[in-house]
Amino acid sequence: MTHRPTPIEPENIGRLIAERIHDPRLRGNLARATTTSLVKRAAVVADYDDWESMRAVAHDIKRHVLDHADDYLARFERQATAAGATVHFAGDAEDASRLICEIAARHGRRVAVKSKSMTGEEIDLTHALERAGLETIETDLGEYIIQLAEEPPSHITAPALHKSRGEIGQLFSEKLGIEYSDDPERLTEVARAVLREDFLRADVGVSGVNFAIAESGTLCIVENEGNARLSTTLPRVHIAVMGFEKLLPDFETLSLFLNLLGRSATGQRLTCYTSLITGPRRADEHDGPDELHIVILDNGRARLLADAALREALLCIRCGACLNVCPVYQKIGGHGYGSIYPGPIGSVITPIFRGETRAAGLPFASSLCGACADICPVHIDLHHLLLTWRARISGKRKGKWTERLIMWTFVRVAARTALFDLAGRLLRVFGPLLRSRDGGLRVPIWSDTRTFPAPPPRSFKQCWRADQERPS
Amino acid sequence: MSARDRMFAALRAAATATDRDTERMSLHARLDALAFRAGAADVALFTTRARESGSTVLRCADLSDAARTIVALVEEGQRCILADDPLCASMGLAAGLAGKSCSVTAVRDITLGRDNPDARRAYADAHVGITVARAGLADSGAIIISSSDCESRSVSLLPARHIAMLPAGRIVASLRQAAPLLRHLALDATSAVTLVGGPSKTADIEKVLVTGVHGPGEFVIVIIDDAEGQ
Repeated sequence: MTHRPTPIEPENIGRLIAERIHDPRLRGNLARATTTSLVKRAAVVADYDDWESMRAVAHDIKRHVLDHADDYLARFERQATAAGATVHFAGDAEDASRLICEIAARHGRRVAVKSKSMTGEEIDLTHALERAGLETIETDLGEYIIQLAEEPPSHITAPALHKSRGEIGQLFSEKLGIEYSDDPERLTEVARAVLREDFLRADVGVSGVNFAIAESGTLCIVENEGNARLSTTLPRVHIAVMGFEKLLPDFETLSLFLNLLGRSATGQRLTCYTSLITGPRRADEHDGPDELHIVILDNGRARLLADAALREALLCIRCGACLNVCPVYQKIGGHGYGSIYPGPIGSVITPIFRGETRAAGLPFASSLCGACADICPVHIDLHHLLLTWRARISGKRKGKWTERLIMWTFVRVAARTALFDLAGRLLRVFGPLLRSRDGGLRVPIWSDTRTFPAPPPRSFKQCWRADQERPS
Repeated sequence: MSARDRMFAALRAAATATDRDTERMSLHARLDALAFRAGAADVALFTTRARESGSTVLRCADLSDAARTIVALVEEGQRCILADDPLCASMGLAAGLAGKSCSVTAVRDITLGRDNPDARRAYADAHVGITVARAGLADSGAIIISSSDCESRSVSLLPARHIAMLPAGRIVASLRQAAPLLRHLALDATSAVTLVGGPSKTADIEKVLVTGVHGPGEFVIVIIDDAEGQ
């Protein structure tokens, strides 16, 4: 029997999780990678004893920008245009892709190099560029690996996090015709050599944006590898795509956000390269693109902005910390969600991007432990946003009849003391008959993947009474 | 209605009536009360933090000391590209490097014309690119460089090794203190400012740190205590 993997789409979340939860290699890769990230982060967060205040100020700055987004966007557009950039607007993913492909393919241009962009993934830009006839090369090492493997990314900042070095070695030897090696140094060296030639012949560079500075029309792009610098320096045309929520007022506020982003994303005080790009190359400069196009994308963001209960999701700076710390993400990885943006933040924003019905399972793929909200550098109350979605989605559907029966019964039993006590007594007497090998109880479906705790020999009430009677 | 009009209409509809500038001023005040802006513009802290990020840091007393140090770093016969900064010219660096049979090319001598692949190749094949930093950030050990008529973007990006000179007086406590400089550069001077915080690196394969993936694999900062000239 040939194993055909489930298509990575949010509506298949149940099957995607089931496939991944039983994959020990994936779980090993994930545990190693997420733990490393968290340890590194903690070491540099300790630089400041007012980290909590930093988060609070950052949160309020982002709120402020959203509250005045029309002003800041107008200012950004004016300043970027004055610096020689062309600013475009796109209503949805399709508009944005079409616009970018049209600019990229002008004047017979043929080769595009792309640096990592989640917004680019959101609008499926690489495939759109390929369909438009451009050879399109992902240049971030992680993205390059998954492009070779023909897979979508599985993490916001570390797209190939689900792959082991052996798998990558195998992939490189198959696709690039090199001798097999699983040495990360050697594999990186090979990728550098191949991609350097691509950079030198590329006509168009495509990038995302981390922050957009309204006061000067500047784009801020952070990275560690140098591929974003190369993509925005060597080709004649640079096209940047961003949502309007990337705006910041000025360089003072940027200084706080760069401090938070590097620490939260990769455990660095500052990433290796932070590019601040204001317009295309100027007349007296030696290099840089002749044209800079900035595409500002809506794609559901305006709807999110208008939604008072969910609007905070727009504060996200895409650091990926909520993924690393999430007990669900740690087990199933990015592909387990089936969405472009995985993890807690992905479960909040995907129903907006993909439609509530297609992504209805996502807000339920969470333990609601709140670790995501605790780690978020801009203090988004993520688990409460998940609860908001749950309430909305549950309100609209009936659920399975078994689920309804269980809930109907539970409500009636729990509301009557005598019935509740009786149910407890029955469970303590007959429960042991259902005991499974892990010491818990066998409960259909539920206990397939987790332990259902066996009832203790005595109820809380009994313990309490015994405690009261004991002479002190 | 165009996509632009629709977006602005939606943003306007969601906007609050509070005064933007008053709000921003109060946010700035809160930002400036945070600890991260209060550090010292300290050479020792800069050095520690830069080394922790994988940069090599060397400290020199003056310009001639710096010239000697850089010449010693470069290997016999390597190809070097040099920014046209007045600092480089005044310290006699080109002559020193030439004495080590290195080929030294000044940024202005490479015409990075649109249709000049040879020029890009010259950068890509260079062993060393030498630049001058606009500022250093003590709390992160990063430097600020910018594109200008004397410094290309490529000189700090394509060669295998990047050496940046940093006059000690240009070190500030944190990015917060560099904000006015960044604003000036963006508004009045250049299309590209880069904060460089270490050698190019990746951890995309099993979180194993590898340096030199796309940019320079080695990043050297030469701090010059007295850069005022002899």
